Amino acid sequence: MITKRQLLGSLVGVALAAAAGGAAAQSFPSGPVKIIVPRAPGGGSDNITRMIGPALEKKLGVPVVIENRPDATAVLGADLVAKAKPDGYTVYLSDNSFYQNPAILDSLPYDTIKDFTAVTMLAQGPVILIVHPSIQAKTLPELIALAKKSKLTFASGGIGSSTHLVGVMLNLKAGTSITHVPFKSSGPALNALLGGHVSMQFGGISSARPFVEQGKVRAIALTGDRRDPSMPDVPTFQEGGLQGADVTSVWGIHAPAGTPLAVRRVLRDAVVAVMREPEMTKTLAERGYDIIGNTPEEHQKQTEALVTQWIEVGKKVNLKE
Amino acid sequence: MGLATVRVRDPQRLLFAVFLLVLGALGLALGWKLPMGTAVRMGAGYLPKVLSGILILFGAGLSLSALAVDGPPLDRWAWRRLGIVLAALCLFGILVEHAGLFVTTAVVVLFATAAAPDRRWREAAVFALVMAGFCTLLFSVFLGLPLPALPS
Amino acid sequence: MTDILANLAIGFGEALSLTNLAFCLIGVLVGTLVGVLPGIGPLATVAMLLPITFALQPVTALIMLSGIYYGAQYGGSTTAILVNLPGEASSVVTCLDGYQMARRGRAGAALAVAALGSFFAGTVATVLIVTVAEPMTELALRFGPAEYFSLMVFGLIGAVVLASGSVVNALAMIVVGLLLGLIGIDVNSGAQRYTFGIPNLSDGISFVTIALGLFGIGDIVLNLERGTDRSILATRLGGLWLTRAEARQAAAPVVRGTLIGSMLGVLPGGGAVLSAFAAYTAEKKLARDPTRFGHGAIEGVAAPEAANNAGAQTSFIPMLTLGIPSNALMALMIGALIMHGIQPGPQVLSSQPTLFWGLIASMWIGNLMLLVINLPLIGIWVALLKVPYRLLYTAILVFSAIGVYSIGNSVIDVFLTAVFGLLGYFFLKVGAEPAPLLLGFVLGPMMEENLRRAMLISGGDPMTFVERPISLGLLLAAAGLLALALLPKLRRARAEAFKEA
Repeated sequence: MITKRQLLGSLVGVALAAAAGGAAAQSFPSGPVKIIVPRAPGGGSDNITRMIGPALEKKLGVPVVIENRPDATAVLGADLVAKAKPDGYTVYLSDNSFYQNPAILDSLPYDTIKDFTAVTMLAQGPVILIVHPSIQAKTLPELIALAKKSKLTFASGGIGSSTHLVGVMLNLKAGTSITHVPFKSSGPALNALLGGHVSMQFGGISSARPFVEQGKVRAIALTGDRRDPSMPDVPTFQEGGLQGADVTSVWGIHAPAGTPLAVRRVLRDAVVAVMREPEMTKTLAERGYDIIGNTPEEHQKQTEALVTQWIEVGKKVNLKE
Repeated sequence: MGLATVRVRDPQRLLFAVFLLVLGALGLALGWKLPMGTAVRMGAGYLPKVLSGILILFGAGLSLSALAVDGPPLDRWAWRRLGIVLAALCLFGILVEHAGLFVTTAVVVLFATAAAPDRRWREAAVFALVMAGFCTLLFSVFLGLPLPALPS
Repeated sequence: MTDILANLAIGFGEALSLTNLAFCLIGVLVGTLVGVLPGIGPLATVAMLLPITFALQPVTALIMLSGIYYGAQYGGSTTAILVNLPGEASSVVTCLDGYQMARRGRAGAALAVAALGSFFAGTVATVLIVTVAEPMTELALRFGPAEYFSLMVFGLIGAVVLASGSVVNALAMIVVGLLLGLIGIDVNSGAQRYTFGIPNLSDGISFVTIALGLFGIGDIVLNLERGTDRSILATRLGGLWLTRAEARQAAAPVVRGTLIGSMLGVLPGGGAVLSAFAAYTAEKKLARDPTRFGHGAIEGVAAPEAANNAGAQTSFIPMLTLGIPSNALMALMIGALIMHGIQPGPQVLSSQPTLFWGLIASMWIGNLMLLVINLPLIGIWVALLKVPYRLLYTAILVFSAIGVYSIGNSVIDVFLTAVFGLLGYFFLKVGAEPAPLLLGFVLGPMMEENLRRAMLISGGDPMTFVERPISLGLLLAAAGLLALALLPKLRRARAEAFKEA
């Protein structure tokens, strides 16, 4: 039973919290904002942060500090943010590992849903499937048929990366057993494909495009629900007749749980405004980043959906191979 | 003296051998639960166990040879100096995120000076201040490392 | 040939513009600075400076960033020679004989040969990039997981030669290094190995942490207990320049080191690391009296320094011809290109000739600048050794601690350095040399990854290693090297025969 007094008390509490939130938002930001990037400099997650960093600094009027806390599964940086003060001055650049870790790792030092609150999904990027020219398949159905007859291998940018998980989903949905050969990042994976050491590779479109144009590799399909304007000839996986194998690379911003909504809105609005500047939009598109910029509420729902989705997939297949 | 006593002929080698035995045993014990896999499809535990095993073999072999072949005697260990130098490093780790680079550098330089046989405290105090200023300027200001310059 | 000359003319025209010269100078100066500071690497520096370069022309930005990269190669050897602090894998080799030269009062000569050797190597590597970048790229593509595995085996066997003492101890230390290299998340399965639930360990222990602990910290305590050694060192500084005999001794090793480094540098991921080790191994094997190595042999500084710089330079080849980064720093450079709207890849050569050739020309100019900067600096560096050791070592401690902290912005690394400092002192006291351990540590993870990858690709058939010609050749070379190492008695007998003769 809730008494009147408790009800009143909680109402006052909510009002106070809202007022405090409003006040915080008005004065936010008044000091440097730190973005923790869980990857080494030079990767996709670091690149997007460093691209928007300087413009965001101008927009917010305070220094934006980019701090790399790299490790193989992006746990270290996330844990730091999970335990940081929820005031919006420390935020996390979340990539695919953030959503997939609960399904892949045996234990995590933080709770992906309870310890974080969403700010925005910055962007997504399709994953492209490319094969070595010696592979006798020009379309996805042909490739699947070939994979059922002979032994093929696919290279990825590492366990738990989007480039690995598309392969897992392809095997799951098409009923193939293409052998996964993990690399530390997408660069060496592409190298192995160019040298013909693996049959196919999942990678980012911007690094694959020049080789596709020169005929050194062949593009089969890419993920996402529409073709990419920079490679209009490459069909999507859905067009290739494969439903549900889509995994895109994603980059978002999460704050520690308890960060006021008003503060998150300030951050989100600033980031989105920066990304929508024509120059920036163009640069991002060239790099293979497809801008999303949804609201904190939308991103929160999306986060929960993605985490649940991967836990479900993890029950069906071994994500560790 | 009979069969019961075995003479250590190469104590340095024996000490190294014991280190290898301990490390190998630790490697085996801590890596026990990792999946072994097969030589063809190696699991995460394959190499840890194989390498730990090799270390134990090395340790055993070196122990035997330490009893058979003469070697140089054990060196004296400068325990106190070693302790101070290592403690100075740890002190840096404990202080730096709270006290800032300036204070930490000064304290660590002064503390580490205790390990020098020819220490001069007054000189060390001046040097500590110079180093503190220099490091703060170089690392926090010029190179912009994410190290706080002053206590937070 | 005329094509190449015309291209070079375009390149030098671009690189010699006042702005580009200025930023090249800034790059090599910053690079030298971060190279000298232990632990603070070019990677973090380039990442921090990247946003600043947005305002520059793409070619200017690239010229500055690459200047930082090879400037750091020059600077890194300084700390290795003067105070036994290796800031990166390749400097470990420089420590072996460079620091011993410094202890014998030849710090100036060691620094001079390092700078001159690096400059020669940089010049040759630039010419190679201009003339044979294409065939070298083809060679790099032939290296699949099987070839990499065999290359790593070859490198590990070579590690035995790094030790000047017991071969058995060296073999055991390699295995210790391999085991330490396993710490972290297994790339092939995502399983945690020996991480004790500490998130900082999930990406493995950083090389700098181990190297500074084993080499730098252990050595400090040893110097403190010996006490007087340092003052001898300060009074015996003598000539700063190379003697004629030293120059003659160093010439051939520089050439050999350059060739080895240029070849290995092209291989993405791991090639450049091996180059300094391979060059040292080659010199020690070729030497009439291998016992001088580890006690201040000038060949042991000249060859690896040349190899290291040549490798750093040719590691640009995969990036320039394929757009594929051979290391994290190249990945950042590619990021810089993209942010300037240039898509890296095989088409850069034809679509951006001024950028391509301007960058290459600037590398040679940058190397020349580094030589001009470094030679006069030698006097200053050597003068630094006159600072009383009771002050110098506290400064080394603080610089090491800051450097180690800055790797991952984490105090765990500082504590780990203390642990490895203890181990380093222990190894010194029991006569186990740390260099083979470090090589095992660096190569072990790459060897395991590629072994498992090769087995996945071959479907579990180990014959893949001998069926592939490059792999077979490397394995045979490794077997030959092992045979040489395991016949110490033969070698000793031969050395004695030489002495008597």
